[in-house]
This record gives sequence, structure tokens and C-alpha cells, in this order.
Amino acid sequence: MAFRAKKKKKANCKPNVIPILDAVFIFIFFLLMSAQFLEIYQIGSDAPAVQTISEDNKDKRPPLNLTLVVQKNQILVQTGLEGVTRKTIGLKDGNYDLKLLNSELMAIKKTNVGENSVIIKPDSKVEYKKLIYIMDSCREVPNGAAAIVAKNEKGKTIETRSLFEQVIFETLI
Amino acid sequence: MRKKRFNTRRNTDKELDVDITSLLDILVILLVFLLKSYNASDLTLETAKNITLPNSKSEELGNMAAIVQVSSDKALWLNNTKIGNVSLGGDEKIEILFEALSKEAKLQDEKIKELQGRAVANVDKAALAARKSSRKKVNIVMDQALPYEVLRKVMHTSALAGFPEFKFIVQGNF
Repeated sequence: MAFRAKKKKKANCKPNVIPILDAVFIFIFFLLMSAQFLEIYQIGSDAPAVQTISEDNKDKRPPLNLTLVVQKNQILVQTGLEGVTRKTIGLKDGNYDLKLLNSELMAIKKTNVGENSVIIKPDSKVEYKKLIYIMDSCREVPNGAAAIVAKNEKGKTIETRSLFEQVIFETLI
Repeated sequence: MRKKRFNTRRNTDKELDVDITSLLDILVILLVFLLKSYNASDLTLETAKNITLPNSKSEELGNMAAIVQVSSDKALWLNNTKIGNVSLGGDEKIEILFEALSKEAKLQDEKIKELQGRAVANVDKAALAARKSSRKKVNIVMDQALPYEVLRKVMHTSALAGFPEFKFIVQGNF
């Protein structure tokens, strides 16, 4: 008796998928209209703002003033108001050694965790795509590397994966 | 004979059972593919001829603003309209671009004023906020092989014309 009842149930089990299909079709048209097959993103950079600082408002700690002087064959990593060269990044297989640049920037970030701006001073003949690669290296810790953990000026421990996100080009105006 | 004809008619009256499983499979795959390529950015970009965008690791979505394009042959475009050419050397300010961007700035200011006048509905308020936030931005679309000199001139002219926030448009997934 029980066996018969089970057989009947099985025969009637047929879901109506037509409304789902309708919804899926509408969804597909909507997605087709809004799809962008070329993945386009942006990197932001602002024109430098000029501000006059009075003697009273001067920083207690000297500013980092991190500057990357991009020349045709090397990048000079400079810090401080005098622009002392901390490291020279050369070429590797015809391109700038961006791994070395990245590790140097990570070391600088560890001691200046509150700082997030970098000034780029390129040579007129440097290719645009190379500048984009340099900007990428300046912006965040590469995949696979550990996040930066350091104490800020107030003594608070900060964990971050971003390096110097605010990119400024020197001598614009 | 009569009986046979009657029987065949009865067979065709049976409900047609179409198997849509394979169709559903295709639709699901298409859906996943399209969901992956969905982009929430409001920036619609028609790149001019001879422009190869540089690759980048950036994942920041673009926003609608004035678009300046420079192709590999140094042709200059503003909002999909060719306005002239950039020459190397000489003055830092590109006069044609400065004039075109100044006009664009005036147009945008007028639109903001117009929206401010009738910003009662939520739709208008959202449009006004979007316009205000993009007012000083300029999207720079440049061929990857161009030298920094061209970029410097474009940035300098844009800043002078009232667009000091530069957004470099790049190709992601690098």
C-alpha cells in the first residue's frame, strides 16, 4: 500500500519554470545593456594646492616630502625638504625595478604610517604607461605580501595595505 | 480505414513536452558571464582612434566628467569631439584645449545653476550632487606610448581652465 502511494507522488512532480525563465531573460537583456567588456578604471591625482604656513602653525616633525624623481634610466627616491636621495632604483630587463621600489616604499611607510602622499617628478620623455606602473607601485602593498602594521604619531597601532595613495605631479602650475 | 485516420489525429493532440534543460544551462552560463562583466560605473567611454590604454592594478571605478583624449598621433579630443593637435615643445598651455575646457566649465556651471533652481524632487537633488562632485574632475584618456610632456601639458591646461582633479583612465585586470 505504502509503495503505491510513493509512485503516485513521483509522477506529479514537475516544476513550472516558465516564470523563472522570463525573469532570467529580462535580467540577461539588462546585463547585456550595462556590460562593459573593456574593464576601465581610474587613478586619481590632484593638482598641488599651495598654502602659506605661518611660523606658529609649523609642523613639529619635519615633513616626509616623499619624492620620486623619474629619469629615463633610474628612479631617485628622495625624502625631506632638502630632497636627500634615499635609494636609487635602476632598470631590470629594460624596465624600472618596481619590486625594489615597492619594498623601499613599504619600508618608508612603516616609519611614516600616517603619511599617504607622494610627489612624482618625471622626466619629459618618460612614457605614460611607465608612470602608471610607478603609480601602481606607490599605491598599495602587492598581493602576497603582508600588510603593514605600525604605530602612528598618537601611538595607535594601524594595519594597512595602502601605501601612498595620493599621487601629486610636481611643477604643474 | 476511418478508424485509422481518427487515431492519428488523436496522437497529435497530445501535449508537446519540450525539454528546456539545455536551454536553461546556457542561460545560467550567460548570466554568470554577464554578471562578471557588469560595471556599476556611470562613465561611458568611446575611445578615439589610435589609443591603447595603459594597464593598471587599479580597481577604482570611473565617474562621468569631462573627457580629454590624446591619441598616439597627438590628436586632441574633448568629449568625443576632435579639437586639434598637441605639439611637443613650446608653451605649456594648450590654447585650443584651454578654450574648449573653459566653455565646458561655463556649460557645467550653467547646468548646476539650472538644477539648483529646480532641485525639489529627489531625482534633481541626486543629479545636482553628481554634477557638483564631477565639476572639477577631468578624465584623461591617453595612449600608453605618449611621453610625460604631453600629459604635463594636458594637466597644466586643465588645471588652468578650472579642472584640477585629474583621473587617469586605465585598463584594469592587470
